[in-house]
Amino acid sequence: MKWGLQLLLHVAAAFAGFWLASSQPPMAHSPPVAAKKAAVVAKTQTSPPPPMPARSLSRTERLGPRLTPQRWPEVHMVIEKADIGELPAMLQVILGSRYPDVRRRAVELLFMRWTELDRDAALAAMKTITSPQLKEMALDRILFEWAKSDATAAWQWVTAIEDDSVLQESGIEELLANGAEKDPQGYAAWAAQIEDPFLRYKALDQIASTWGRADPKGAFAAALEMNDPVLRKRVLEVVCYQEKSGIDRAKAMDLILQLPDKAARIELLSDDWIRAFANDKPEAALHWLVSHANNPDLQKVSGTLGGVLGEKVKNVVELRAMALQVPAGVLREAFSAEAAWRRAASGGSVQEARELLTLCGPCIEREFALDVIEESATKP
Amino acid sequence: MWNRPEPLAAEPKAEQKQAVKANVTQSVDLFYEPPPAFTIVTASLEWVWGQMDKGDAAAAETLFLKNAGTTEEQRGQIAQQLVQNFRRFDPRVLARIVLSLPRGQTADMVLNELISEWSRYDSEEVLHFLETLPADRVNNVVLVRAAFGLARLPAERVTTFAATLDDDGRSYLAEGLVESANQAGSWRNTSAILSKMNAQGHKDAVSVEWTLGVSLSDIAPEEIERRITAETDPVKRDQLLAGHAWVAGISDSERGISLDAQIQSPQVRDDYLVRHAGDWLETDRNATLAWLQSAGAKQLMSLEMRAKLLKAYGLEAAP
Repeated sequence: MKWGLQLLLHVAAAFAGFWLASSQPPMAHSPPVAAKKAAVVAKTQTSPPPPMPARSLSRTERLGPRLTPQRWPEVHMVIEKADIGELPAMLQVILGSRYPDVRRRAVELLFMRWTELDRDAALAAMKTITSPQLKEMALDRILFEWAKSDATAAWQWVTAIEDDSVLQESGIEELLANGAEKDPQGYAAWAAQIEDPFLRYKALDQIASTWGRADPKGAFAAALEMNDPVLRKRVLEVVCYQEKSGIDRAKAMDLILQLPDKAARIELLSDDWIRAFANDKPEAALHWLVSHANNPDLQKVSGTLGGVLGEKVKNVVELRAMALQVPAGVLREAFSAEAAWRRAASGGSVQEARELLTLCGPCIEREFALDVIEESATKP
Repeated sequence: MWNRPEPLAAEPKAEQKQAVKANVTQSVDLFYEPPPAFTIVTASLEWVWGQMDKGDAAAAETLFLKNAGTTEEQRGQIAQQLVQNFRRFDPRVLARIVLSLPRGQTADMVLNELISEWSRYDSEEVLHFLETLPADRVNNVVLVRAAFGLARLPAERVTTFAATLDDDGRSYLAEGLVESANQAGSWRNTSAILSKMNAQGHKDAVSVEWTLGVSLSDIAPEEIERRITAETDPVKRDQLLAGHAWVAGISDSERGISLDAQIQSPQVRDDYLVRHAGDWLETDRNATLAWLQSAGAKQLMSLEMRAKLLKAYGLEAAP
């Protein structure tokens, strides 16, 4: 089946002369009849915009005055019930709306309705929109609906766009956002082969977001085994912030500490994992640090933890006691210096910050903290 | 003085416009209230929301233009708040409000914010606005921020606009376009714009090469290293390398230092070495202190630079 699919896609792409010919993304669904697909693609690419049919003045005219933030619920009701013949005129009214957010949401709703009634006409109408953002929004809605029934055809249509790379990339991101979770590894392998580094990153970023949200545990486990550092980093960042992921942060951080790339593990732990852990469970985060105090990679992580707790723990006696739980030396100095300056910079007591800093010996972190604290002292 | 931008292509047709206008006029007539005397910004905004709920679409402008007794500072604060709620207002109304502020830091800041928001929502409209903006308001920040929206437009449209700018303006626009490349538009489109734009570079603008180095270092390190190797212009090569080194050194100081060492510009090299050695001290103090006292560090960094870092630990640098 896959060979057949590849052959079909090569033929379609060769016909379109498009750049992605050599590697198509994995498809979520089996392709239906090839000839029918090609006809649909050809038709949608060459169809002129639909002629303006005689519209129902009443519903369209009712729409115009409602296109304000205050009357949004009424807009919803009007568009949801629109007939196919009313949609072109409604689109013009919506595009003339003065409120950016209303315009955007109304376009979204209108194209959802249009796709339900006549997808080819929706595609043709979408192409007549001059604003790139609104055009992207319209395409996103079409693809969202289309991919539910025939993701293969939707991918084909997007990858065959020749005259608008901005629209095409937006379409690729939308399809990944609504399908990558079905075969994330397959999509990631496809994305890794994209030559354009910016598009490759956008695709990998979208796959990481979709996968990390849909299956945090699976994505986390897979990320630890990944060779691609860009995808691994993005997946681990996304997973870190998923509430109710069921992932034990302490155990996850133990596993991250075993990644082969020292800079990557420090960055992930410091920028994301210890920060999220400390915001969620401060005591547990401190316990994790203390129980790993013999690990030489945790200086920066200790500083980040001190910074979060410096802002979060209101009682300075309690905060000082926490700092003293961190073994003396590099880790405690990093912890107390960042706790001190963050406390001062976030409007806390300068005197308390100075006292915390007494736990820190001479080092570059202390010098920086002193500068911030003294600057805070000069502010009213 | 600024004039209202040309009507947009997507304006409603005449009869539709008439219907909308009639409705607004009717609403204003029905619900018009003079704005209250200014007390605090939030109270003014509350009044605007209340009026808009009653159908008064012109409430923001009425408040701004007819609120007697407000100081310049208060008007600046109101404008800031209105722009922060960009998506709920007509951007053209906001533009008129912003451009009516007396020139100064607040006016520039609010204009920059308006451009940022508008660029997220509608590139077409932002381009129309820029085309009608007085030349002395089209500054570096405006262009860098607008680039986020302009990156989505066809290359010809952007290059036509760029042709109306001077060399400095084109440099800033190019900087913004590359900076936005991994978030907006497509690199194919951005490359097409850049290739037709002929940005020459300006001493205060960040070069396209440096920005490209910064962008690619994080998302495609192998690609930037390939480009650095392939670049034959020594100045461009150095800027690609500097951008790459700067970002690589943020997460991996040792790697950053090894890249810094290859930078040809002495001032950039020294600045980056001090920065990355400082970052390394915060990540792995013991290893950095040992390195700062090694023969390798003596080759790369001056005695003064090493002494400054070592002094924080009560240590002295050996010549």
